[in-house]
Amino acid sequence: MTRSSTDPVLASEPRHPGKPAPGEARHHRPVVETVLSSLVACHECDLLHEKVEIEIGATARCMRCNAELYTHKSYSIDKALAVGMAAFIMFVIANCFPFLKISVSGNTQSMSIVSAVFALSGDGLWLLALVSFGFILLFPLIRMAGLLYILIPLRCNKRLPGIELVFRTTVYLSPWSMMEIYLFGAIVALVKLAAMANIELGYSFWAFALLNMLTAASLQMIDKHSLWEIILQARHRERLQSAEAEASAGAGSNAGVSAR
Amino acid sequence: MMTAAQCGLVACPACGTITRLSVEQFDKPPKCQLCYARLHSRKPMSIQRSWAWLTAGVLAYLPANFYPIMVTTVFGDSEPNTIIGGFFVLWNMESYLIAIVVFLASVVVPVLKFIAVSYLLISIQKRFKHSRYDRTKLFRMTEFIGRWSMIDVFVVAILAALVQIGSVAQINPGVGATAFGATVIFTMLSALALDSRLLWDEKAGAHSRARGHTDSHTRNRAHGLSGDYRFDNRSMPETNRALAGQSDE
Ligand SMILES: [Zn+2]
Ligand SMILES: [Zn+2]
Repeated sequence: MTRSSTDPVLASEPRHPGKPAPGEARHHRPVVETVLSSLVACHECDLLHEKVEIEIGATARCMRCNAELYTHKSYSIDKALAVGMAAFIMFVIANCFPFLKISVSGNTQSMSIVSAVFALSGDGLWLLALVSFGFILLFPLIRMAGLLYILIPLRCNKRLPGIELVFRTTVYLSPWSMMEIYLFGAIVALVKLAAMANIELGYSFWAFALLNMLTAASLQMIDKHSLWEIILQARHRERLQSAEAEASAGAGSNAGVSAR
Repeated sequence: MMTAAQCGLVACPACGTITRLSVEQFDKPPKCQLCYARLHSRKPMSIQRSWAWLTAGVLAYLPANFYPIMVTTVFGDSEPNTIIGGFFVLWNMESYLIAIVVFLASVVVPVLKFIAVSYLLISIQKRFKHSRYDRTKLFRMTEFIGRWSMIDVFVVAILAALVQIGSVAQINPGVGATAFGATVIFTMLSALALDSRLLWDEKAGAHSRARGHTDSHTRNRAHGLSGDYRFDNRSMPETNRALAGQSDE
């Protein structure tokens, strides 16, 4: 039987102070009493809703403020992983080649994506350069790497430490990752210079444009809710397997004892 | 209609999981059991922090306009460009679309954002009851559009990196760019600090555990919890278990 993604049992990990779930005891924190997984609260107005099954592609919205509560996506880890890896490769390519080339009366000058950061720091705007480096390169890279760090082990049925930290980091960094704004900035700069000079788009420009499309596609495929759901499902599977393994191990040792 | 706060519940800001907190242990900062994010019913010091960042943003916007965001040197002649000057250059080049985009990003959006966030903050402090829905929409828009102002800084950075053609032409970034970048970042932080749930709270203390009134609602897109449920501390887990049991069949 395959469980649907909105099945509350899958997502539920109700725990009480007295009896933590097996195998999860070290995560237990006494401050928090219970996790209620059949409910969802609107992140914009805090209205409580009961989770209901919605069809694939549909979005549940808050009945009071119309904010998105959750969407039912027909994600597949393989597809998301493929897009994530392609985005990663594009990121590397985009940083290896010239981004834009300019030629004015025989003089040619080219820039890569990171040169914009150096141009700022070179003129003493260290702080702005540092922040821009984060917005254009570091934060997007961390988000992409984080997605792969979460998805690859899930794909191989392994568990790496710190999934929760990685997940939270990718969520909190999302407004600060500004690759698409940089791309539009490049287009504005192109228009500004087009009248005075001959501008050429480098390989890196196309790779960067593609990277932006892939990032948008991967966000379309897996948003933070579905990513979290994937993690929960994997944990649930893991727990079932460990319980099974325990049971069979117990049976095995019993058999051993009786044979002896 | 009940909010999570009225039921003594908290939603995790990262993973969305709903948790019930025990009252007596509110002094320790509670964390989400599943992803270990800090849990707050409402963002702490939301109004104060939001005002502080907004003030910083407005203060940074003044030098952003006075100081040049870049200096263009063509055949030895240096000319400082301010934000509004950049718009006029584009306008005179007859690239109207880009000129308008630049004007929107560097003037209209920051100024509107100052006004919108101040209005939202005042409306929370004065406990306006009207047009909560529209104010939430305004908040959503402010949050979404604010980061796009960063485009100006990136344009300057790209131009400065590209136009370094010896004695012919040279573009260098100016101090105004830092000030403008600071404006964008501060106003983004201001919007992040602002908790939109406060727009809907009836009273300042509504997120303790007051009992909300019930409303009839027929045009629900998602199935909302109506007054049929009793939200005693005790009945909550039972409700939850019952629901889980139903779908487990
Ligand atoms: Zn809502
Ligand atoms: Zn969480």
